[in-house]
Amino acid sequence: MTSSTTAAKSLTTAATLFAGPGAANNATPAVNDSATFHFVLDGTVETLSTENSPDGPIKGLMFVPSLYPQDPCNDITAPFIPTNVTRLQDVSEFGYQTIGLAPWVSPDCTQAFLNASRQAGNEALVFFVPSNNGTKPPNADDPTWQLGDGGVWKTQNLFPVYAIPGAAGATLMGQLASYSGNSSPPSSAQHEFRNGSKSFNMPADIRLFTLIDLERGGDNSKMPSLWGFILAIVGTILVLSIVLLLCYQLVQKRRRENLQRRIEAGEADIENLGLHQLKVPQEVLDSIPVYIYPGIDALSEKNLSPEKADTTTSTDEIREQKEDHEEINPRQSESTRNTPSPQSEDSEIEQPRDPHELIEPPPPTPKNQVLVEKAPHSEIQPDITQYQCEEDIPDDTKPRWNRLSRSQTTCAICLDDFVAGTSTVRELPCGHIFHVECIDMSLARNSSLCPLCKKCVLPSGCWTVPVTNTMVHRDHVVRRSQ
Amino acid sequence: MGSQKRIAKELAELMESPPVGISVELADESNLYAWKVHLEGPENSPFAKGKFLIKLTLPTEYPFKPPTISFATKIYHPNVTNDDKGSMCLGMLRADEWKPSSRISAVLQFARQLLAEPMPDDAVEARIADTYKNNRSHYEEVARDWTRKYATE
Repeated sequence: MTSSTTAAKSLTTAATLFAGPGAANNATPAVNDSATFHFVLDGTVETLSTENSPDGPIKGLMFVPSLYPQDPCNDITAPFIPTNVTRLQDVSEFGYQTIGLAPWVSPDCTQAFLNASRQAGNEALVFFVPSNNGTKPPNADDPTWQLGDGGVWKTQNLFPVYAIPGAAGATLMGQLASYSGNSSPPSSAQHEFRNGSKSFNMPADIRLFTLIDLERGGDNSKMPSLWGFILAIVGTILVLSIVLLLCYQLVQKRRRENLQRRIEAGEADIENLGLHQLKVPQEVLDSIPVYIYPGIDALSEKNLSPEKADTTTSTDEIREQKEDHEEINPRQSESTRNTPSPQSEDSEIEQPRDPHELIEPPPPTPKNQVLVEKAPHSEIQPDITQYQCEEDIPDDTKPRWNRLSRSQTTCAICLDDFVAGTSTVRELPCGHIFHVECIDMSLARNSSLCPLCKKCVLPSGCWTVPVTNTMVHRDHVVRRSQ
Repeated sequence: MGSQKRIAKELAELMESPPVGISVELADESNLYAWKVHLEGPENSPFAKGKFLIKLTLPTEYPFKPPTISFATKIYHPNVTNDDKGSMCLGMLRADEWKPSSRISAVLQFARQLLAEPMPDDAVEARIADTYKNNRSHYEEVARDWTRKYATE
C-alpha cells in the first residue's frame, strides 16, 4: 500500500513540436493523437515517492540526467542509454519544465541519477528497471527499490519519483534518442511534418513532452471529501428538521393555549373535542347534590312535613351512611347526627330540596336559590363555586329542571324504579336524577356527560386537563365544518 | 355486577313482552353477555318472511359502553357488512353517541326499522348503497333473493 496521497495514474509521452527556443509555456499543447510518437502508460506507473508532488498533473519535457563523466555508472548504464539521447541541455533551451528518465540498475547508480536530478531541478524523475517486462513495476515497498538506507532516499528529493515497466523505459529511451536534436529524426516523422500546413524540417524542435497524471490518493484523500460532503448534507437535513420541529412545536403550543382559553371561556364545543371521555373527579362528584328520593307523590305535593326536610342530606353523610348502615333508613340516623348544629345544617339541607318545592311558603326567588345554593358549599369547598356545567343557564330554565326531576321515576342506568324514601339519588345540573352508585360509576369511570341528555356535569373551566394536539385538530375540523 | 342486574332486567322484559318481530334468548344460559336475537324481516321490505339471526354482545361495562350487534344470517343491506362478521352500523351504537339510558329493546327495534328503511348515506357497503339509491328494483330483487336463499329454513 502506498503511503502517498497522490499516486500516478498514467504517464503520457508525446513528441511535441515547438516553434522555437523559449516559445514553450504552460499553454503549449501536447501533440495530438496524430503525432508521430504517442505513448501512454496507464495503470502501470508505480509511485515510489510523492515528495513535493503537485496537486495537478506533472508536465515536462523528458530528458535523461547526465552523470559526472568519471562516474562508473556511465559505463554500467551505457547499454540502456543511447549516446545521442535527449539531455538536459537539449530541453533547457525551451525554458519549460522537465521530467527525468533513468534506468534503475544499482543503488549507487540510482543515487547518482537522483543527485543529477536534484542539480537539474526537474519536476519529476521516472525510473525503469531494464527488462522486457511490460507489467507494472513492483510496489514501492518492494526490496527492488531499496537503496540500503531504509527508504530515506524517498524523502530526500525535491521531486516525486515514479517507476515504469522496463519495456516502456526502453521504448522511451529510444524515442529520446530520436527526438533529442542530436540525430536526424525518423523519416516518417519528417514526412508527416512536411505535409502539415506549415512545413517544418527542423527535428531539433521536436521533443518528448511527458504528462504524468496524478490521482488524489484513493483511500486517504478522496474518501474524506466524499464523507465530508455526505456529513454536510446529513447535518443540514438534521438542522433543518430540528428547526422545523421547533417551529411546529411552537405553533402547536400557541394553538393549544388558544384552545385552552376558548374552553375556559366556554366557547369550544366540549363534546366534539373528545372531552366527554373526561372522568369526573371525586371532589366534583361530591359537589353535586344528593338526596333521598322523596317519591313522585311527595314531589307533586305542595306541603311537606317538616320531617321531610331531614331526608335531604349532604353528600358526605350519605356516603358514610352507605358504608355504615346500608339498609338503615337514613332518617333515623339523620336525626341524631344533625342535632349539634341545626342552624347551619338547615341552610344546607334546604338547597337540594328547593327545586322540587317551588311553591313552598317562604318562596325564594330563583336568584335567591342560587345564592342559597352557593353559600353553604363555598364554606365547605371554597375552591368550587358553581356546579353547573352550563354556567350560563338562565334562571328562567330552572322550572324546567324541576318538572324534569319530578317526572323521573326510574334510574336510566340500572332501570330500577326509585323507591320513595329509601333511594338516594344525585341530581345533575341538567336536572336528571340517578341512583348515586349508578351515576357515580358512570361519571367517574365513563364520561362526564349526563347519560340522558349528554350535558356536561363538570363546571366549565374548572378542569385542568391538558389540551392535546388531537383536541386542537378536532376543534379545527369542527370549526371549519361549521 | 350492576351490569348483570340491568341486563337480566332488560332480558326479562324482552322475553315477557317482546316487540313485534323480535324474539331474544341467551346464546348460553350461563352467560348474560351474549344474546341470540331472532328478527323477522319487516313486512313492507324485501326482507319480509325472512328470519334473521342476530348475535348481540354486551360489554361488561354495559350500560356505559354500547352493545354490538352482528348478523349471523347473510343479508343484502347497505348497513350490514357483507362478510362473516355481518356487523351492523348503527349510529346509536357508536361509542360517542351511546347513552347509558338506551335500552336493548330500542336498539333491536331500531335495527329492524333499518331493514325497512336503509340509510345509504351511512352505509358500510358502498356498492349496495349505490344500488339502493340508483337502482331500487334491482336492490329489492337481490335482497329478496338473498332472503329466500339464506334467511328461510
